[in-house]
Amino acid sequence: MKSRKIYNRIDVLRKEKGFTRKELAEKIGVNFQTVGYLEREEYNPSLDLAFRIAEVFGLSVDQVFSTQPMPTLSELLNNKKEH
Amino acid sequence: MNENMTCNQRRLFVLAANLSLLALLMVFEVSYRSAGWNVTMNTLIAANAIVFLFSFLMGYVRSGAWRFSHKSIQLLDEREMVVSSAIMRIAYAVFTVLVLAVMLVFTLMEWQLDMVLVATLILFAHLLPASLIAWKKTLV
Repeated sequence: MKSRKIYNRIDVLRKEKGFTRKELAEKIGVNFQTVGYLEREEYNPSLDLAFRIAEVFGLSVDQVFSTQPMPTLSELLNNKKEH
Repeated sequence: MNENMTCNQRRLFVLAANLSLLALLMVFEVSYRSAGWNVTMNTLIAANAIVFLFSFLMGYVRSGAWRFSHKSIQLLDEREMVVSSAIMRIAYAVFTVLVLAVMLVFTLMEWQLDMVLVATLILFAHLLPASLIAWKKTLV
């Protein structure tokens, strides 16, 4: 079965927290190459891994992952201005 | 994976390693069955062995493919397990068909299996998963 593409904000959140890929990898218990694959959205994590990633950033799973493309920061700011 | 090496370079080394291994086997078989051992055959064996060792070091060891394919399952994370499982599945299918085909040919030709062929197949069984990993850069 071909799974759907899962979009995420891992790249932005990791940079915001100031973690290197290696540091994030150690926190979530994967090898650092896997963080790269997750950030490039080339690998869909398991539910367990998705929860671990969300916990590291102190967010809920749906704030980090989505089945729809994630809006960029400028899109979010523009939407906020319009409302 | 070694990011300094391009995908084409890695594939070239993988091809070179596998072809030189096949060539080594052929030279051994020809020498053993008909031509006998002479300077030409010894030179061919030495040349192929050098090509094999060099391409193995570059395409498998330096690229990290060999280490990945021989990593303990406890050290793999969930993505690597998915990759490993997919690779092993393909490698198992290819190797099984190849060994059965070799056995069929040897039976039809009424040849005897020799130690060099068996040793080459054992080496090939170890090389195959690493070859697939090195071939498909996106996997590791």
